[in-house]
Amino acid sequence: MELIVDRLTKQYKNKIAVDRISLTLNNGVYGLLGANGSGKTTLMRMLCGVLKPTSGEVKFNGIDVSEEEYRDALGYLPQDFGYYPEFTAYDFLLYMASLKGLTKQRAKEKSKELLELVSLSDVAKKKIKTFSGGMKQRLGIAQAILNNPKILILDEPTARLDPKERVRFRNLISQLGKEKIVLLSTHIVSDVEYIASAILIMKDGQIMHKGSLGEIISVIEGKVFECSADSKTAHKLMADYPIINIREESDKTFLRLVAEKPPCETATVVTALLEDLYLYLMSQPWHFSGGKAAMLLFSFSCRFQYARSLCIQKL
Amino acid sequence: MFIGTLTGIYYYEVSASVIWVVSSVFPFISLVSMSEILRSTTYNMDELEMSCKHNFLEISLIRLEILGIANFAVLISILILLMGKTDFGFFRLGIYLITPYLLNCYGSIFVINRLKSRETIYVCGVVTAAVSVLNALSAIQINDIYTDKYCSFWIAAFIILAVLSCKEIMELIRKMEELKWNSSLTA
Repeated sequence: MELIVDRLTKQYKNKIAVDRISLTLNNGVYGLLGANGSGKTTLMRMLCGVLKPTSGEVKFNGIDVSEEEYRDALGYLPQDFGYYPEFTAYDFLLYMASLKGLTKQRAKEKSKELLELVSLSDVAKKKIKTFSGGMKQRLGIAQAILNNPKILILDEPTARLDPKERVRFRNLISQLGKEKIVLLSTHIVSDVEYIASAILIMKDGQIMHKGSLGEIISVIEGKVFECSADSKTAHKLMADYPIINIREESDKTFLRLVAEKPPCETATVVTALLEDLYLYLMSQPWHFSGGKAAMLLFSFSCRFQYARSLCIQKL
Repeated sequence: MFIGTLTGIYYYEVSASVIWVVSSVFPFISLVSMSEILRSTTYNMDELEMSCKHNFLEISLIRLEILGIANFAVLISILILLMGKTDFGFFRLGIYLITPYLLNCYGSIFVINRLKSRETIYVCGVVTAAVSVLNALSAIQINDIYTDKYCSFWIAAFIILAVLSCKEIMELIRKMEELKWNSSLTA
């Protein structure tokens, strides 16, 4: 089984949302990380045939994305999806099953089985409009695997799930990944860290890094430092280095940051995490995008918290 | 309600003014069709439906077909019932009833093809109301609008609107086929 993406591009007037991405995906779970506006959802929509590429190809075992056979092997959970208001959970799955080409009998069996799997059997006959966000998300996950797809594309599937549901979901995806190609995009780094066999980091429409967790973290291995510093030093470090975490302690400021060499005398090197890499990569210079706004906000937020704590101390 | 209306038309005496009343109401039947076309977009189901084996285009075409047949059945029923009640022949009566319907079809599908939003159905509603009011006002203001004096106008309007409606429907199908980007889906 092989999903081949060949120089896939999507361009709108003066913006390139996806820029010549080429990938080969086999069985396993692939985590797609990227800030808002990096092109993750656009890429996923092109892989699902929802969006027509400007150029490039997507093929699964030689079958082009525009063909019915491709969609027959596909399961998709969009980032944001709705429902017809009169539908119950069971009706919704039956409707999606009919669109996916399941027979009536098979649709009924599969719907009941999947409602049980996502713990919605008790509310199968209730209208979806009465559901919480987490329940709707679980229903969305269920419809994505109705047709036992060979390719599963999940766009921020854990967004509205609580921690317990998220763990259940991770276990489910891990099992599915053994015999399927699963591509899941998320902002929650831990979702991808524990279950993905390969991680793709996307920025400004391009794949910046691709590989197993160990391979991609090696980019910043030995470059993540923690230190406690006085306010003046902390202020300088914040201006000079990408900061991952700030914590105010009694008389010092604790910082976790990325640097080529120890940034101060008290700095100690620590094991790099995926989140460190993600934040470090997102802080590199880029064209204006929603991701930049998010990072600016994050950076300002850290600086604001620090400035606020300074003011409180002086008062 | 439809059967009740047909029964009313059949059993009760109707005057010639029933033509502009029925032709003003008929565009609302096409509004039902428009709401069906836009159903997926309105309820944010289009992305899910597009990714399925039997996809968006197939579903939409089937919906259009069924609605077209239903609308046609309604039209024929009303025509048959009204034919005996007025002095107009089948085709002439058909033109008087269908022309506002076609105007609404053209206007609504024009909007659907150009506006990519979940509120498009409300705009189509405004178009329908405008066509209905325009038709009613025209009939009231121009007393002889259904006479031979304006016959060529009605025929020309019918032909032009039929061609324009077909053009917009082809454009709609072409857009569905090309998997056009919907601005409301922007991440």
